Amino acid sequence: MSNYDCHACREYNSLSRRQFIGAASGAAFAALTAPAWLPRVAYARQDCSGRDVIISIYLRGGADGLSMVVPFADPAYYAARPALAIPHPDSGDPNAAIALDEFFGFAPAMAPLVEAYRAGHLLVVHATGMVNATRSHFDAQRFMEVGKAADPTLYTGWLGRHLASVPPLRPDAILRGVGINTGLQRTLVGGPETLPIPNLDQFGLTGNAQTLAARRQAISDMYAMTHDPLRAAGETTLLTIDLLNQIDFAGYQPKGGAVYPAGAFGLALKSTAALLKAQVGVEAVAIDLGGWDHHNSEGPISGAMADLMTQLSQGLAAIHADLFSRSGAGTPNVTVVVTTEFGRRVDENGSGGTDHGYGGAMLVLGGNVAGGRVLAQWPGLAPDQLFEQRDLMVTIDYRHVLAEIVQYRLGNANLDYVFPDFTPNFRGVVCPSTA
Amino acid sequence: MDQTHRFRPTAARATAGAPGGARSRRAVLSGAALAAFWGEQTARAGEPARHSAAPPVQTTGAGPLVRLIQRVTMGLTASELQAARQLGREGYLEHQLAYESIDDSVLAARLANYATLTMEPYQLFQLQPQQVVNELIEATILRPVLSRRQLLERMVEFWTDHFNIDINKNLDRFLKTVDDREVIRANALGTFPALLSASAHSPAMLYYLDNNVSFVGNPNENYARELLELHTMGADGAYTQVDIEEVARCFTGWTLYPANAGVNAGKFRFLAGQHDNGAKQVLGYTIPAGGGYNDGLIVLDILANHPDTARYVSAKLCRWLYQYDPPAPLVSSVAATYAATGGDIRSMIRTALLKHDLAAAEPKYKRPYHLFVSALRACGATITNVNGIRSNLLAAGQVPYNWGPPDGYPDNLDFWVGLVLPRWNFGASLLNSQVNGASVDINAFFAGVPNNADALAAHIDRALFGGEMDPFERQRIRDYLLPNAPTTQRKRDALGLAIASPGYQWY
Repeated sequence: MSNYDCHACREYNSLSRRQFIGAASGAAFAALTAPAWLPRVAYARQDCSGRDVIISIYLRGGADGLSMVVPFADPAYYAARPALAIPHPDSGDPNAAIALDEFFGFAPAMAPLVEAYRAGHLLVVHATGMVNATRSHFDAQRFMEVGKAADPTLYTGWLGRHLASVPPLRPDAILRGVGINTGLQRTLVGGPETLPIPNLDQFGLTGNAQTLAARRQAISDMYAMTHDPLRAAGETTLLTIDLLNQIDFAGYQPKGGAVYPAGAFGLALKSTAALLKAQVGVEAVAIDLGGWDHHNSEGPISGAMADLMTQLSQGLAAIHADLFSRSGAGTPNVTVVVTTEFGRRVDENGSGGTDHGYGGAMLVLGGNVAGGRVLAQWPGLAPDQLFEQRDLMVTIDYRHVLAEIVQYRLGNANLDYVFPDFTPNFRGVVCPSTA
Repeated sequence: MDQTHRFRPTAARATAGAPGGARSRRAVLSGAALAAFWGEQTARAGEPARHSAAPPVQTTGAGPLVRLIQRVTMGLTASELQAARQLGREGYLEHQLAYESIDDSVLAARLANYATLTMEPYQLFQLQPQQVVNELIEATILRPVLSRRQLLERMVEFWTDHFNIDINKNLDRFLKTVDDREVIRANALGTFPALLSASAHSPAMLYYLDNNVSFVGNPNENYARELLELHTMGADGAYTQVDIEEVARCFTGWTLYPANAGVNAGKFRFLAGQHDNGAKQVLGYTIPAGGGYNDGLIVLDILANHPDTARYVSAKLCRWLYQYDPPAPLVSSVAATYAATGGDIRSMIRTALLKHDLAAAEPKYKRPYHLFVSALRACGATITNVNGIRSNLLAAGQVPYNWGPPDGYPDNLDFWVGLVLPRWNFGASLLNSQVNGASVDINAFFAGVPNNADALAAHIDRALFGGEMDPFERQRIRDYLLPNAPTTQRKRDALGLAIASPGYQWY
């Protein structure tokens, strides 16, 4: 399978240039008719840097890439998964996989993403992951988020180091990175002006309203004089209270007919869309979707995993409709990446589930993504083709994909800092920025 | 597009790790300085540290006794300080270790309202799951606030994370109550091998990690992997994927009775017919064929006696009790104690807290549960129900038994440090009757204290910090109370601000 499709990239280049112009001229119009939920600050300085903002979605628990993106043309898949396999697209089965090309297909629960795929905005990467295998969730997540395998001396995440090594998208940015979580995801650790915020719509001080200003001043004074990272967290928090309170998250109206799924994940995506459209300088958002550790009763067609895939695909489809529709101003260029710590064992286990494996799948969504295809160097699923006779091999280091996005879409050439001791090999996953 | 900007890491920030003297308002850190803070400059120079970077030394010169109380309790109080002063360091630690002899009737009377805490699984199965879950979580919030057995509560929290079970998983809504009582609490200050064995037999654990459906011919690896990685040898332990598969075979058939099994429902069950009776090789040992139930016991014995287990559990315990990156000699001492005493937890705690200079330990950042409990204790809060405390814990990210993955809530700085707002708000809300079910009698708190800023600030320092409050922060709280004769509202605010102060986030 080819790795780099120059035609596709040229095509997307020209497309995104057109879109960029459209968005910029639209901005002037929309400034006159700004929707009520948008803060005035959004119009103080339009972002013309051409750099994308990034949403990094982590599927925690080790998502079964073979159930999400089905290698239906590999007969070993059906031999290994007598109970769990998703039927061949040509089977006529109502639960059959949805063909993406001659070889791979989406699980039926991923159907909401077919439109983005056909529009060329969604790239699927398969047989990908960390090249240094560990079947530990915690080591795999940690090292993957750090961006370097098996290095216990590195604490910061790849996205945190990215933020630390580019100038802010807005010079006056108060908040550059957000983890939609109660604790900061490792991915973002080390990012300047970066906070974990579990709910963007609830971020204010409690206590007596009459004394709020005085109390706030006392907190500000005390935190200004303490040590990092607590000092930085305190200062950024105080400024972020005002920032977020300018945005009416509850009244946010998505565009393009987008419908975000119910639940925490959908809410996180929806409020992220509102935050990014406000263009207050946030350039990286990390969102988790957990629960993929399906050792038991995996249910990829109608069960636990299908439910998760439905949330994921509906959420991404909503982002696609909302942020890529280009129907109005204030829409930044966004690239979304979806990763997981590992795929699962090729053979299903005796309890209708799958144990920890190695290679898995990854998704990249964006207006500047060379999508509409599955990028893979498929190693095969026959027993002698597997890693340690049990797992899908990793043939594309996930960092090749991320590094290309960091350089071409996030405008950061410091790849040796973002991914230390790694030589990226660009696969043409995105189109270089047109700005 | 600007691709010419080159990022040049600069030298480590001069103030990183500086002691309390280097206080000045600084500009927002550059990315390089933040990276330097996270320890990567030194780490690259060849000082590997397995977990997160240590926090900057923020010591306020905590005396050994105050530091011991902070490590041994869920929050310093005036009465705890008084007791420790009477007993001395070793005497106070022994007092807390011998928890059975500490009268805890106040807590017991309060918990008598929670009938589910003492029920058997078959009884719990008759109830609405939410009732069972609520009573356990409520008890877990009340216990460290009200109990005089403070070290027990500290260790219950530690082992609850070590043997983490997500209470949201179907049957674990019922069974975690039993696990908490019969595995964690019963063994928290016993021996590690006994605790490990109790956990391996715990229906809640077997269900959580899918061992209940691991049968001969096609075992489920989930429990076996986490048993080695998280419960005993650690991710760096000397085991292989084959060891995991063999351990999984040894535990095939370890399951629980179904809900319709009468009084046995939800209890441990060995299903001999579902056990793999072939021979196995585990960590270099041959487990002969036909061992049945004993296969699992042999594995537990191998693991409990493995030096990797002694080292991993000791390092984690030192991290809990001493500092995030405990000194290697301390970990070795505790591991030696493990080996010498058969994993006696009390002996390991003595080594961890008394054999090295505890006053030199770096402060640790309170997790939300610890912070809120310590505030409730120090303020002498009255709790009529825990609903508001629980919702504050939810906002701050640490409702008990709600961590999904099996590694437990993180014990580190970098995960928790960013979300300060719910921590600030808890103090302000608590002092203003905005925490449902919890309140502070501000007049009782300041009873007998002259109504002037100096005296009030000094009292806050004594009650919350054992007299070792950061001088700048104490001064700022004092200034907040000016002019003298402050109103009750000002005093409420000042106490709430003390809970929100940077210094109170550490212990």
